Amino acid sequence: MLRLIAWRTGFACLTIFVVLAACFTAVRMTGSPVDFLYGDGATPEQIVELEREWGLDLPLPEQFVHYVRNLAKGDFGNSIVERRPVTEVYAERLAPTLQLAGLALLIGTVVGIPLGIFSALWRGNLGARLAMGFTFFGYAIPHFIIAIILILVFGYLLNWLPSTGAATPLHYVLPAITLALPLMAINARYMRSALLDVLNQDYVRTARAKGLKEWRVIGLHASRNAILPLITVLGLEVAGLVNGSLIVETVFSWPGVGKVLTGSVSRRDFPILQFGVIMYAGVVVGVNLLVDILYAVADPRIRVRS
Amino acid sequence: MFASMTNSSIPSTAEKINHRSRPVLSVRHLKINLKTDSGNVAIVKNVSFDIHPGQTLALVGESGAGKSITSLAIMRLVGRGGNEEGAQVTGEVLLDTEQGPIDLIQAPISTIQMLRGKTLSMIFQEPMTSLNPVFRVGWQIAEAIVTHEKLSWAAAEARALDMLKLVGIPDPLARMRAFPHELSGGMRQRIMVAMALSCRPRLLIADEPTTALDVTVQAQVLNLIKRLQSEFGLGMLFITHDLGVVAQMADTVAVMYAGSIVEYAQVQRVFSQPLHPYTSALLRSMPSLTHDSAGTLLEPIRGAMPAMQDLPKGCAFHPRCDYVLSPPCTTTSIPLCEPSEHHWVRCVRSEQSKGER
Amino acid sequence: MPLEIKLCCIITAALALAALFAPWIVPFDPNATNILEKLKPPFFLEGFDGVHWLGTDQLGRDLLARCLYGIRVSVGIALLGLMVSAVVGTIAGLAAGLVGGWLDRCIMLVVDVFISVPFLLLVLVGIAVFGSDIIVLILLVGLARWESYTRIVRGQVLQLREMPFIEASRSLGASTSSIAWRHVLPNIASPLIVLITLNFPAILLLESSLSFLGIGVQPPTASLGRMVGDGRDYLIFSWWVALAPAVVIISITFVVQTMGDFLRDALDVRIDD
Repeated sequence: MLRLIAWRTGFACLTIFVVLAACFTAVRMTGSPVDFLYGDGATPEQIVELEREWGLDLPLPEQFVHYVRNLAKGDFGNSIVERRPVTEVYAERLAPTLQLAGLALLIGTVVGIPLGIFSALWRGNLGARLAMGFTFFGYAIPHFIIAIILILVFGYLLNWLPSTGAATPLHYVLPAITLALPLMAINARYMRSALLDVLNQDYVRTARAKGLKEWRVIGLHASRNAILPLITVLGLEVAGLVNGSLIVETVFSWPGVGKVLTGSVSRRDFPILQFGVIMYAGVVVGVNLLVDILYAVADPRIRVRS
Repeated sequence: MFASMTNSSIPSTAEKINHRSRPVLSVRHLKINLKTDSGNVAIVKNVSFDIHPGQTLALVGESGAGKSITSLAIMRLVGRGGNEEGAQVTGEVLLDTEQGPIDLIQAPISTIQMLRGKTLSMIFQEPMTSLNPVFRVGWQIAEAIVTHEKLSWAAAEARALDMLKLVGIPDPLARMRAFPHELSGGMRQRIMVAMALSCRPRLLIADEPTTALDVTVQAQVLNLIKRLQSEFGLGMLFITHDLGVVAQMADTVAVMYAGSIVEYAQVQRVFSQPLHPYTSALLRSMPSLTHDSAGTLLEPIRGAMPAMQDLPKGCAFHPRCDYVLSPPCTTTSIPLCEPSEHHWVRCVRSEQSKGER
Repeated sequence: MPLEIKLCCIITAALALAALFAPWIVPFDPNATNILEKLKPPFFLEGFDGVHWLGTDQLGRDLLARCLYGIRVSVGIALLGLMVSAVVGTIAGLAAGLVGGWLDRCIMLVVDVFISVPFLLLVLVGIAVFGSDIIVLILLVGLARWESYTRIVRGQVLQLREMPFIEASRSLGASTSSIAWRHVLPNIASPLIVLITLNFPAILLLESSLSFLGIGVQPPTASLGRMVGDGRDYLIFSWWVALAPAVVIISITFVVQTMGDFLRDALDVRIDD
């Protein structure tokens, strides 16, 4: 088990390393990083000083080491557009993004999993079949189109909900649902198919033969096994949330980090872009690592293989 | 002449066989219909038997004869998902409990849940998949105990440990915390036995418990079951297709074919004087280590057992039978009769046709 | 072929033909702006001017024309990108499977790393560095899901390697590349076709999302995603500007996804996700 964790952690570090290298190369390809990071604000003497500090006269691998060391110190440079530290820019916008993502994850789980269970246990039920059919759309339609449709219907036609900014709690509804719909779909489908699969297993029959009440058979013995594929899917869902939040924040003018990141691309604000990419990549890799560990804890069979 | 044959009544004669008091399990006219794509099919047509305390009834037959589903019906585990979807079970299945005999077919599911694991237990064919892979085996046994007896979890685990020792698991304390995938097939089946017997049931149903095991392990597990049976005075319904196992384990034998019992008698009688052509054919198709007829060929039974939707008219076995008489074998359904004392056959060609009741 | 599939084929054919013959179907230049004609409603709403069947957008451009040309652009980019990823992925899979050893481990490590990071992030970096012109977009979008081909091809190669006829070829002196060409490729044709079909919607949606965000296809070129993005501000009164291209996108992805699922089941291909 420890070997498994060590291996996965090592791999996660490698992945982050590759992302860093990619960013490093990307920034280098477009010119001197000092220009970008401190561009207009520095005097020629300061530039020479910074270049030395950044080790730009050194061979590339050593530059990379310096680069990583600076990043580790927390020095991500200044935003070209806003002329202030990148970390500041992101810090003040982190909360809305986390809130939105957290809310979406919550809704996706709280609605999706019971829906999947319900539709597995009551297979013929019309409501269940309709709901599962509906989830297909959450799965197949891209975020930006879901957003547009929701805004059209609930924002303008019915005029129930606001669609720009994050001023009131009501503002959270449409963006959160947009992000949550694909999650609901995935959770419901996976839970349903996992549960159907598990209910046919011999050990469920054994549990009944032991005289356990039906709720315990389903709720404990069956569910505990059915939840396993869902854990693996959790990692995918977080990656999807990253993709989704970039789009959703733009559509709804949500004051979060996603909007900052996408904005930085067209503006060539490399420090912002670099930080955002590393941050998001770090989150996804970190979550995947946690998911792997969680899975190994949940499924004892995995601990034997590595 | 044949119309005067009626279904015999088994109880009184069964008493004579076993010379004991009330049977632990008394099955009468069990009939199971399953919903399939081709409509309702009768999988089990009319099964009756008794099992007495300390006695083993072996239910023998080919795959598809209806043996397993009979046992599942007794446990009320038939139907899709094991919760009785798409299945109709009729008849009477009396289980002798502390509160007197209860008809398992009519009882509400809450009663059944109370009885399962406590008064009647079942072990299954596939030990590899019959235990929950994410829970430790000691926990799974303790769970069965806690469900039925007013014990604390700690006390239940202590009893589970005792059960592990009883079934001969080496290093039982360590094994309590093992997961099923860490154990071999034979050990898992022992765990199943331990779990099934943990609350001292009166009846154990064993559905081909050793079929999936290696031959050497088979012998160990069978010996274990037999020893525990006599220790606990268990009645046992043992399902198998292996006549060798029957010889070792059974006191009475019921041979099933196409959903009905075709022969029912004590084990020695069935082996030495089989009265139904199917039974004799089964015996002839088995290799025998002790027989003097070394060098004789095994005789497989020609043809195959028909699917329950396509049963022939009359006796279900007649297309494969060497003694077929037409009529009545091909036209009328044959009832069970008792040509010789305590020996029932569903055949009109059985040698001694006296004693029809 | 079941009815739904026939329907999908018909719809695909109709869309393809409409896109190809766009200049003859709609007499308007998709990029010609005319402020006087802006935001005219489509044929099923009041105010329809009898000329612009799907109405016009905020700059007076005919929406039907833009949709049809938009299909050309978006689908074109997706198809070309698909070819890029299929070729790159297949070559990587062949190399990993046939050469084996350290190259195999290397390639599979790259694959694992790639899967771990959301691809969109890498695309953002790429666009920031290289810009948004069409070639760049094709290459970037084309690298999406290259690893899916690699895994399938490698799996097939590993299976085939064990087969006697490969050994026989080698003993007769055939080189690795000729074995790849003559023996391996015909066997991987089915899974590749299914994979290509199933990946198409993803790549189309990737390009649409990028264009929607404004960093994909640049104006004045019509791209379906961009049109949806631009239309967002006019949803309240002129919702058709955003909805028409959205419907087109959904239709294409849905139809292709359905056909891909059908192909996968028909050709009995197993794709590990």
